[in-house]
Amino acid sequence: MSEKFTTEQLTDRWEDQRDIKNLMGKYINLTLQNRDAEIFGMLWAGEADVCLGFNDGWYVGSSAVSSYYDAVHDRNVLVADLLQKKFPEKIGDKTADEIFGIGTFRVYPIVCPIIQIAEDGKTAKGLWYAQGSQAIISSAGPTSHWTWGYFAADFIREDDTWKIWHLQFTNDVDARCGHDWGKPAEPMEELPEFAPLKYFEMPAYSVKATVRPYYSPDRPLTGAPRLPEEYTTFADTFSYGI
Amino acid sequence: MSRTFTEDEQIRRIWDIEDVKTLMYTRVFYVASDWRDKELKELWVSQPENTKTASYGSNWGYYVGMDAIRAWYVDAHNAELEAQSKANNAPINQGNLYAHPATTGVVELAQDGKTAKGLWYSIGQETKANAEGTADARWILGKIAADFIREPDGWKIWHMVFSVDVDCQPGVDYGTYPVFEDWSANSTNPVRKEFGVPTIEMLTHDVTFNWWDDYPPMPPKNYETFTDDISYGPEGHHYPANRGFGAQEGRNYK
Repeated sequence: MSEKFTTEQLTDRWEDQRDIKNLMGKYINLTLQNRDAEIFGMLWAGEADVCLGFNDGWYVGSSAVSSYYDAVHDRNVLVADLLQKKFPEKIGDKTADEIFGIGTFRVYPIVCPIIQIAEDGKTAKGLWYAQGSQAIISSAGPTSHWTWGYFAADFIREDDTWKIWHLQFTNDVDARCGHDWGKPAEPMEELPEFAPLKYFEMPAYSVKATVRPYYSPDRPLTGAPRLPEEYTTFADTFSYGI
Repeated sequence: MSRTFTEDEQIRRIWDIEDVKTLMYTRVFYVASDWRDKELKELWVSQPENTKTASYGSNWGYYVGMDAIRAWYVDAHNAELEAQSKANNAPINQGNLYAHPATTGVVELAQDGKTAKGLWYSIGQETKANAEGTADARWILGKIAADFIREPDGWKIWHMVFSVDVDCQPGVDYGTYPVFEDWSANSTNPVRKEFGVPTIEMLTHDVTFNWWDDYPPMPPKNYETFTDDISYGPEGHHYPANRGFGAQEGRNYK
């Protein structure tokens, strides 16, 4: 690869790659800190065709993608409120700002980056592995999960800054900690104090589709998402978007 | 003593290290897709002078030479998949999941630029469907160490070691596993069993009691040129000075 480029170009391209790693690192850290409401404005591109995919569907367009992050924020507000009601002696006197984020822990460390920057330098593609963990409050109360999955993204340069253009976060496994994901899980009993979470709905997908089936013992082998390949300009390669 | 490099040489060396990392990470995604044959063809050495000395090691020895590696890593694996498919009455690889992500990378590029060495840690898992309609899942934790060599079409894997530290069932405290396990080729441990009978059978990394050895040696150090003495292949294996139980020291030694 390096034979194609001058010393200066190689330096610029290394900095581009570092910036893209940092961009996704910020994404993961903002999620960890429950600062989902800031993610769209801070990290996403202004392109009309931005899209965000999960295992079972896509949010397409700025309004749909940002509504997803806003809903995650709203759910976190609700979780904190329910926990405050459950533990009035401990946190009853705290403001909503002070308790925001309690009850929700999601960490998806990303590893194994495969990054390709277009020869024209306008776009880039990246694929990461993510072995994560989350401890969240559901309508059955606290639950913790191991996750095994992938982040795959297209990036676009806007005003000399890299931004997320299309992003997929898909998991093979999302299984309760302490439980063998190869065996059926016992359902958890619902708790009345967390019942409002049962009725909290995330925005409907713009496109409901199986982006990646979750693992089950009867799932055909489902390999990694397609790896980024060297490319000249985005029209010459595939998209991680819908 | 490090050489002095021009700015152009420096940035090309930086990209060499990036390319080596990308090679290892590409392997991670190939493993997840169970593309073992493709992995050996695309990512491992193909020059005759290197294929003879290529090796794949684990706790229980080394497969040496690409033919031996292929016979075990591809052919024996495919035979196991055929047997599983027949037992489960299901298509090949249905219900199987492979994940060995590599983290915490340390890569050293030789001063002469011809080879590189890398070490990673992997918290991984393998899940295999069984005839009961469920699956047997295992956490598999270990070090991935590799020597890389530059061939005409780029960096290639030359010697690799997957040094397993822990394998256990999800939901089971691995501290409760039996202290002594049979690590011979007759072992019923699925990770040991899968490694088969290597070209060179030897215990390179003994996890009994968490015995404190330092194999593979870590981390790789800055070096001028590759020599067998620092190889991650069998020629570079040294029983560490600190052999845990053998040295009557180390974690859990009583």
